[in-house]
Amino acid sequence: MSSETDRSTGSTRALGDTWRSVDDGLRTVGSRINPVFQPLADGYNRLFGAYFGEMNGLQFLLIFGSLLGLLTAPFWGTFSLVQTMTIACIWAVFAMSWDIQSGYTGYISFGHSVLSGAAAYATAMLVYNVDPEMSMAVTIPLSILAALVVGLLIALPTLRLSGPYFSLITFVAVLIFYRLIRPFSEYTGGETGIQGVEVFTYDPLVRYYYMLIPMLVVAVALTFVARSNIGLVLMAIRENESAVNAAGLDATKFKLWSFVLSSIPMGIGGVLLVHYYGSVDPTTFVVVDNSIEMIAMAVLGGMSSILGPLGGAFLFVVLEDFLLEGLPASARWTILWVIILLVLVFARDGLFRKLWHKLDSYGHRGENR
Amino acid sequence: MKNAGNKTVKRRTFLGAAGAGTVTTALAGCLGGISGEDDDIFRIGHLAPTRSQMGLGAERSIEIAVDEVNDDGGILDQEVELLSENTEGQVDEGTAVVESLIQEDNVDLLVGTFVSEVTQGIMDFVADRNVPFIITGSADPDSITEFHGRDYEEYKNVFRTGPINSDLQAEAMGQYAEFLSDEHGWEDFAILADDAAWTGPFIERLPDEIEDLGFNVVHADTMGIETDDFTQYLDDVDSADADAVFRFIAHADSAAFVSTWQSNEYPFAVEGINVPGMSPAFWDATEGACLYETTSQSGAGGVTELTDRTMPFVEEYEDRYADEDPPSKPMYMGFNSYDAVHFYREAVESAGTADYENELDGIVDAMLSTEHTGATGEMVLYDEDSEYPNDVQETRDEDDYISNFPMTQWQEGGEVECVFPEADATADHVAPEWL
Repeated sequence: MSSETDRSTGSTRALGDTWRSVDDGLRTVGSRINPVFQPLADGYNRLFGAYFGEMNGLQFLLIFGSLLGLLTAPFWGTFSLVQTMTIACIWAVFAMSWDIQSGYTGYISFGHSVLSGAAAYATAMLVYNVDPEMSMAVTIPLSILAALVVGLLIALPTLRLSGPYFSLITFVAVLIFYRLIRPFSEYTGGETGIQGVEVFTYDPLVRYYYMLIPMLVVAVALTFVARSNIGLVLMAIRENESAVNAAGLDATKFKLWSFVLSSIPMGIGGVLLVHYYGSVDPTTFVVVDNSIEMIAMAVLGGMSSILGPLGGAFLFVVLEDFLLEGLPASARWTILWVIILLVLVFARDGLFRKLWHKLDSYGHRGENR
Repeated sequence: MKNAGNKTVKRRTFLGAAGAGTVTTALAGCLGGISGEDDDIFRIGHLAPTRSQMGLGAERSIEIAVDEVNDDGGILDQEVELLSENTEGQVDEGTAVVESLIQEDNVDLLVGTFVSEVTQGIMDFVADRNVPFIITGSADPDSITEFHGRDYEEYKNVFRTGPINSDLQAEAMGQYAEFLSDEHGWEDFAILADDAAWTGPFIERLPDEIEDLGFNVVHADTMGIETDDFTQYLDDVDSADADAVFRFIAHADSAAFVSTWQSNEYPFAVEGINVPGMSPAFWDATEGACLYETTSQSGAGGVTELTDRTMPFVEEYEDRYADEDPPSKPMYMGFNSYDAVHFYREAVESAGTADYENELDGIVDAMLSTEHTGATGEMVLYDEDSEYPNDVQETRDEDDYISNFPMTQWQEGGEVECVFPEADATADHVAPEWL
């Protein structure tokens, strides 16, 4: 036994040494790259740092390199990759929206798909039941409003609840919504859903930007809010709700705000999704699995960070629809959930948040700031 | 122009210009690269949930058809290539693979789709792109009436060569009820159906069909597609004193349905359509509990010679896949996918073109005037002015019974027999012994 223990301790130590040397190597490379981009980062920090947080050169490279990559994807990506990224944009909106409510306040919602579903169903039902020629200028705002109303309907009874009871209510809300679709099939299209919703465009290149631009706007807006005092209060609710109340702030009011902040972009995402597929059905739009996937994306990227869930959504969707595409659905999902489990165990703050902090420490090492 | 002339271009300026030029060229190239190039290969995109036995049977069947066409010179002298994609029976997956097949692979023909919801989900995109699309799995009449019926010009590139739509299937079931009454004296029938698009007509039309013939519909209900405990549904049929239940199952757990029925010896026969029950492996999967249950299916399970193409196709299928995973027969979608390729080839060869971008009208005219002998029977499509434009017509025998949606029954020893219509029957219909 002792020799086995020695061996395992030895191998753990060797692994640790290897990681330390890799880390040191990356640190050295990072400290050399950082000064190159630091002037750009400084310019950004002067203009926007107060609103969106400051960055070092490496972090600037990550954010603006990614942004450049996203903006130019149709020019370097294959058709399948761009198609996957188009869907990822919509899921990123969902994951960020979930995060501003659940990630920041710590009140975990299992029912967010009901909000996007409400917006998508509102669009489809307006077209199907009211006027097939109804303009998007009318259906889009009404659908986002529908998401907001449903969000408040869920929020109001949950405001005095905490811990698992809040999560259970949101979970039940999505189940009720899902079950109501069949009895009202005359209006909702039942199991088959509603077809014939106008799509934005079938041109894959143009469609990509139709999804990307709202996603970027949502990302900027939510980052701004999250970095503001509202974001600070929401995080304080997660840390210690009693202390927030004791400080004279009404935590209930802020929790309500978090639902409003979350419902509006969820509505935008729902509208994007229904105009992407041109149809709505309960399996694609409402099932509770969708809510769980939003949580998984946020966990993967890093909860309570807005850009973490964005990155998590892209990683999740690209893994599922592109990198693991050839595998049977069951194998794909097993691999994805194992990855989520590993992230929860070994990088609880999420992969992108971990990366962000690493870049922060590598950049500081350069001492060029 | 100030710097023009013989001044040397600075190194940095040159590198910048060269870099920008390279990037621009690369981007421009990629812009075109988002959709693939066309060439001299005729590509068929096949869509089915290929992890299911139904989808796998369809995929194998269309492979056979493509090989036969290639052995016979291809389509309009072009070699045929098959691209088979798994829709997983989901609208989102179906949409993604169809876009990829059309935009990236430039397919010349789409064949398939099993789940009606998936078919309808891709319809607008396919119509927008004008790629000929032949439905071979979904039976929902709305896939025709709600699309071609609304705007024929928009959806004229979509056809269905089989199965007959479920409005017509409902009529065929009424005729089958009459047959059962003649055989066994049954007069009281119940109806249970999946809550899905394709079963709508069995709830809405079949009761009238049965009652117009002078029989009774004593019970009708829909079952959620996730149902796995059918006791309550079967108890209800029992309470209504039905002689037989027509059940229509494609999604729900039909093995559980039939096992519950047989183990409790419910006093009524099980008739109708059971998609999983069309698999030859269903006998073993239910340990024989499916004995006496029937299902209607294109191709009659491959047990009777519907035309002179039926058995050669079935034998080829059996030879190729004898040692492979189930199904060991093509199943109904396999028959329809096989026929669709031969039908389309006959049509475009008579039209002299498969260029749907420039000569779609010629292709549509040829499709509507083609009379093809397939493995499932004689095939003709309804024209633009009919109730079901571009949909396959039903064929009728001398007694006016619909003959291209035959009934099969599981009989002693796990044998599948065709029991209706009588012209194609290989055995008599057998009532459960406990009745």
